[in-house]
Amino acid sequence: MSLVFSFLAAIGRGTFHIFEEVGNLTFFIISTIRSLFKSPFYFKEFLRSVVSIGYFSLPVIGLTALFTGGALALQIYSGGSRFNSESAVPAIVSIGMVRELGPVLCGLMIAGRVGSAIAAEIGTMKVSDQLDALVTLSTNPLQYLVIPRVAAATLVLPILTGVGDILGIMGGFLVGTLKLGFSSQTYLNQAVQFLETADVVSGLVKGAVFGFIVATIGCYCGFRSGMGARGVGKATTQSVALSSILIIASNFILTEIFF
Amino acid sequence: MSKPLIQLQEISKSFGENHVLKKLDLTINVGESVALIGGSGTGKSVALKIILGLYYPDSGNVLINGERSKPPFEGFLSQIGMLFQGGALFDSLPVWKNVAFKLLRDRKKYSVGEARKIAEEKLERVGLGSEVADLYPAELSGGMQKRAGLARAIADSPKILFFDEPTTGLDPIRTANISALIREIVDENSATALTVSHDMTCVKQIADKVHFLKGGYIAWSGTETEFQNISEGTIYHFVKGLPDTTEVES
Repeated sequence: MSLVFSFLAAIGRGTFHIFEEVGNLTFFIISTIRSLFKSPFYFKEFLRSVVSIGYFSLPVIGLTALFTGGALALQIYSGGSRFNSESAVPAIVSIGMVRELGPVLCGLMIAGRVGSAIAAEIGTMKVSDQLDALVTLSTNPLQYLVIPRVAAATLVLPILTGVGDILGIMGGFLVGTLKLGFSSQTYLNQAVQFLETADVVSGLVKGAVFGFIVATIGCYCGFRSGMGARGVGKATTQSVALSSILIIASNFILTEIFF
Repeated sequence: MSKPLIQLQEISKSFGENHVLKKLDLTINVGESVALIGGSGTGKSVALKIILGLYYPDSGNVLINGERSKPPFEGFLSQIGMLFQGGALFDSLPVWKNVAFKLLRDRKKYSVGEARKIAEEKLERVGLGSEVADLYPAELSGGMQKRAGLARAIADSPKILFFDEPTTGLDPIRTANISALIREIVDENSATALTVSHDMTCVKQIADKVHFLKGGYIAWSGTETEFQNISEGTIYHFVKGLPDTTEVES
């Protein structure tokens, strides 16, 4: 009997924990959105975040998009050749990159590179009393640490997504022209011809949403980090896992909206 | 008689099953230098963080200037300086920007040049030359970080100072120097100070009044002279580092 009670108690504790985390995260997101429109805005911190999130992510995003575009061209050619639709490769690569793969890959790569770094940095600050020090120096940690990062990620991710889209299409172009026998002119014409403004806009909106998710979750996990190196490590892992899941889930919702 | 600057009334605080503070009462008057001593895990730092509004008490009141206050104590925090146990310097900023952090926030009052000049003066004051100003905290030793933390605490010459284990991790000579420096700064600014410490030499040098925390409440209170002359009881055993065979005094 006691085994049954222990089992039920464990389920109850787990359920409470989940609700507590969801509640805390919701409260954190609401506080962040409200603080976005409050002063002071730490512009230097914002610029620093723009450089670290945007500029230093360019090689990762660029290479990922380039190779993915190339691989996508090969896969679509292989599939399309089964029903004589090889000519659709440029259009499908460009639409697929712009609507789906560009923003999602960009979001996931940034979650791994930037979200983890934000969680580790803020977690370390918490462990070494730097967050408390900020408060005693009359500085709101949310305003000083979270808002610049969230604002920067939300603004920079659409730009990175745009760069990723272009390089992904270029990857497809290189494979299409060098390996699959398309002429440059035909490939580019077809890649652009079927692409609509709504495709580009939906991809960029996704990028902004993913940027917000990555930075907010990174900051949240950092603030909730446990003590010691183990706590910071756990916060970092949680930040990547949670933001990746939320990116995939929100991508489905956004795709549904833009469908 | 003026109102106490800080008053804790029946403050209780628990972390899970661990009841750290149990109806703690503590009063700090303007101009007093108070030390809070006690063994590890007795809640000294928790009491300090409650005063600063970094922790919410489970029950009880915090009174600032006689008025019941709820965190964040923004007005109060703008008047204080705080030295954290490990220095708590910001890794991403050079030492001088750490020291001048509060000054740089107030650009109407201080230009960047003025803030840097003050930061270098304060660094000199704590025995660090201006050559460390452009280094990053990771490039300093633990003791140097602590002194830089002290420079940050006194950067805008606050009237209220808090020190969390100011001499932990320092060698005996530095301990004596830092203790003397803290006493000097407190006297110079006629500041009110609260020091949390294990270091009895430091406490004797810094404090006018000593509170001994045990079992979640103040088990002994006295002036610095009474503290120097203590010859029996739990606090005597604590100060002398002897095993405690007595009951806590009422």
